[in-house]
Amino acid sequence: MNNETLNLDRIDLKLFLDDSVEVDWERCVQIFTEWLKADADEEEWLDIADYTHMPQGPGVIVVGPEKHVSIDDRRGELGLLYSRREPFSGTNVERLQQLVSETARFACLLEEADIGVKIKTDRLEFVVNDRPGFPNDAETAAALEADIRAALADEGELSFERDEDPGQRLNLIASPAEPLSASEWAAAD
Amino acid sequence: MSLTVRNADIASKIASIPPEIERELNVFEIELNRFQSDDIPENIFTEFRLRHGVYGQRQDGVQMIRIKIPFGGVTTEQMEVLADVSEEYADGVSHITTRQDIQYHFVKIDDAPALMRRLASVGITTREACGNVVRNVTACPEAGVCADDAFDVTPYAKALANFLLRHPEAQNFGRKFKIAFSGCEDKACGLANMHDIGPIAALKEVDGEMKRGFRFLVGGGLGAVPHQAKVLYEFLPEEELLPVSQAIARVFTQHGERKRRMKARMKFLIAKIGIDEFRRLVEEEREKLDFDPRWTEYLDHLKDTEESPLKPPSTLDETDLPKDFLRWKERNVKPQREEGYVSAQVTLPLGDITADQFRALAAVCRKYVKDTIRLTVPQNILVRWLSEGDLLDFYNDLKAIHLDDFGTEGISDILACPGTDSCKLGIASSRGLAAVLREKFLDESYDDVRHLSVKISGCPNSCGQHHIADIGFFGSVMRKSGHVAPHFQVVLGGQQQGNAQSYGLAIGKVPSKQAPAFADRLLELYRAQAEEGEAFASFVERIGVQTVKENLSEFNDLPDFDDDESFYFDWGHAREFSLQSGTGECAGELVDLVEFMLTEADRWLYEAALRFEKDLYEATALHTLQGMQRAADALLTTKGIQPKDLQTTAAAFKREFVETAQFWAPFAEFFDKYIEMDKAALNEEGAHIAIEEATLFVEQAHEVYGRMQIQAEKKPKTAAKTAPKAPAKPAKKAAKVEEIVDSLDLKGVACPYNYVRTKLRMEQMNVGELLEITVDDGEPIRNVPASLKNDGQEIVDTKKIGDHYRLIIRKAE
Repeated sequence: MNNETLNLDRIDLKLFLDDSVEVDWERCVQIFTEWLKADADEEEWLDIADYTHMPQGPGVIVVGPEKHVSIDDRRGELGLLYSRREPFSGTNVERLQQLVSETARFACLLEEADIGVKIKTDRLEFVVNDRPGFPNDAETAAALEADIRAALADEGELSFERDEDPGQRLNLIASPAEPLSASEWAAAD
Repeated sequence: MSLTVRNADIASKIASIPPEIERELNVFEIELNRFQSDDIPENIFTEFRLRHGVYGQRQDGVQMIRIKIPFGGVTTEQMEVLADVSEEYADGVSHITTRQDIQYHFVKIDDAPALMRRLASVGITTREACGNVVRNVTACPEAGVCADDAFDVTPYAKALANFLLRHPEAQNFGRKFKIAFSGCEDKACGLANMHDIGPIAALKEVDGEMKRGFRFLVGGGLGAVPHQAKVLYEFLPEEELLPVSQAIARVFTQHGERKRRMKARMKFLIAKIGIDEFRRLVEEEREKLDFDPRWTEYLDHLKDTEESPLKPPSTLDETDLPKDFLRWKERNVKPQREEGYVSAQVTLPLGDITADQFRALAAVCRKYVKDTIRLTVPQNILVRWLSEGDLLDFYNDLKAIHLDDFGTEGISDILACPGTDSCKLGIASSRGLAAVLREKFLDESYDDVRHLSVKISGCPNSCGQHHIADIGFFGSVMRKSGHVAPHFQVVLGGQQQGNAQSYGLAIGKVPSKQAPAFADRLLELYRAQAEEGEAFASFVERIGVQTVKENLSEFNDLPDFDDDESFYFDWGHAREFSLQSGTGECAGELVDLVEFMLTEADRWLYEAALRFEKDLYEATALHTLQGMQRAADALLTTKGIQPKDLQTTAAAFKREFVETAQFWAPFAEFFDKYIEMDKAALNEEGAHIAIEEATLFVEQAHEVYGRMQIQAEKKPKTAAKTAPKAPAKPAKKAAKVEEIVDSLDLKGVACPYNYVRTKLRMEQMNVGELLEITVDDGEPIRNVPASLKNDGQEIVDTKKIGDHYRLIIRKAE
């Protein structure tokens, strides 16, 4: 598969949390509710889905027509998950750049909101949310890696790891040697 | 969004979709495109998409998609695809429903065709999962391995599900149609009594041979007004199962109610014409049916659904077993009929499982069993044919994926519908309350009452099956001083046993935030006063609703918002439950009066329940009628209409609320029904239904009033028809020179009706226009001008004329 055939319509990015801090889920619901109220006219958000009753579940999600943003605890790895539901515009590299800056923007918002979380930027988990179009194999992963490298060209050296289970969605964790902060990523948009 | 497939494994599965199913999927895609191009009207597409399992959520622009899983049977391959699809198109969670289905939430309609195609690739359909069709056919999840069943109902459930799916005679009902199979009479698993068709496995000796058949129940149902099923046949031979069901489908199509949705379920048809006439109609249609070979073909293949174990039988080494395992085993594991095998339930919190867990569970199942897995009505997953000696390893594997919760079908395994999380009909957060109660009841201190069941619905429609719980709740609201607080009606003493043999009775409502404390006190009462081994339903019946109510009265109070605003926030929500409405003097009094009257209506219903307990059925009906009258009077008060007598109330209510579609007509009909009914002729079931129907009427009144308050809050201050602004002049001078466009004589009209009528009249006027009103001395002259000022109106002149006052009011912006 070459880069031209990739069409990154459904992409997720997860930034992991510093797990030394315990998440205050109630506060998390409050913050997402404030976003919901503030953006009522723009229709950016539809509602909040609270799955905190599930161990290692999706946590709390603020659901929008174009994206879902959550404090996610799946696989026991707490993180800020940005899941794109409507395609970004532009080339794949541009889409990935928008994904990073959008996620970073929400990371900044959460950190400012005194929610008790510290978001790390040393590991960026990219997931292509489309098993039929993007099998989780080495060839497709290589194409995705090239796009991620191009999208994060300013970040310096990157290393990659992947869960190779073919049943999983195409995924890559990119680790910058010298990670920027979320606010730097957000400002880079 | 069309499905582009580069994944070879998925491509090969999709290539295996039968052509007729592929065509159906293409038709869905075409119709969706036509709808999005405005080529077909929304109402037509809505019914079309419902029949394909696509249901609108309360949040705009996203859908709930329901998937049919006949008798709850899934394979590990299907589990993996179900998991994948939840991750790619929904929010990563599969929700097991009370019909052994799976639901996904927050799906975009554009993704529905791709989602359906993925499911079809492993033999799963969403077809007829919603809409006025035969819904998922359920069956006892232990069918075939239970020691008590007459025989395995699985092949029969499968055959009937397949036969009626897409059947032309099951496509034109006035309302949905539900079928459940049970393997035995006594246990709870099948819930045959609460279904449109509920076949219960039975054996009968015929000509010296044991013959298979069914005790065949029809016309049961929960919903807002629950009905127990009636016996259509004491024994229906197996070869008649499909043709008789087809004949019933015909009768329901031809004779079922089609205009009034509220009365359109088959239970109402049977209640109306009687079981004997219904049987006659069914037999008449049965005679007319052309022979269909499918009626009996499947009987030659009954063994196709027979299961076998992956491993040989074994026994569990009982030495040094961990405490947590033993606790789980005691609650979640049952021996099978076959020696050396057990079935284990995987408890899912609120019926939810993540994609990772679902995939991992499939892998765990592959280690221990073949595809012998069933989704259950209480929203869990049953793994059958586990070799008993593997049980500890199986448990440890579950523990590794956080699916080791104990307490299946006990007090902590709370069944709840989606409620306000996603359902358009939800009133209160059933899942929010369920999560809180679940967390509480998982504690060991509740082990002594672990056999009790708790079920919660977000509205009266009973998707959470609150009628058959020991402790049931359904969503409601109460207003106080301009705020709305989520509440739950409490329904006590339902019974699941005997295929849902009896339904509970509403005893009143509690604020949602008080429900956990209320449940605790109720359990204390049960612990303290129940006799040895006494079932909860028997306990409630013995001590009586009044005693229960008295013991729990402290939980009824709703504090003022200013004293404790937490009561006005639903569980898991950081937003106030509803909007604050403005108050003035009369306006405040009006709010208080309406709320007071609605509370009185609640009290009448409670009194009715007390009469019902004493078998005073006529008195029950009279009290329910009083409750409805009071609720109607409460709403009429908002229109400035004072209560007079029953007939006046009924006529005014019809004119003001029913004909204007503010009050849902099917519920409004209950009022007329009990006015006209010969109440002396009511039997026990009729009186029970009277309470249920009156409760719906009163609840609707609460809801209508809540809506009115919210609309009043939302209404822009500028009137719709805005007249040129009146020139700014001194008030008194203006009154002399400007034209008074309307006048109201309110002499003899009490507060707050005088204010309400003034307010209503002013709503018809243009900004700046003047209204003249005449009110009495005393309370009216003190309250009315103050209330109008609070509303922002301008009192431009006040003059005493004899014993009355004349006011000139200018309509403000």
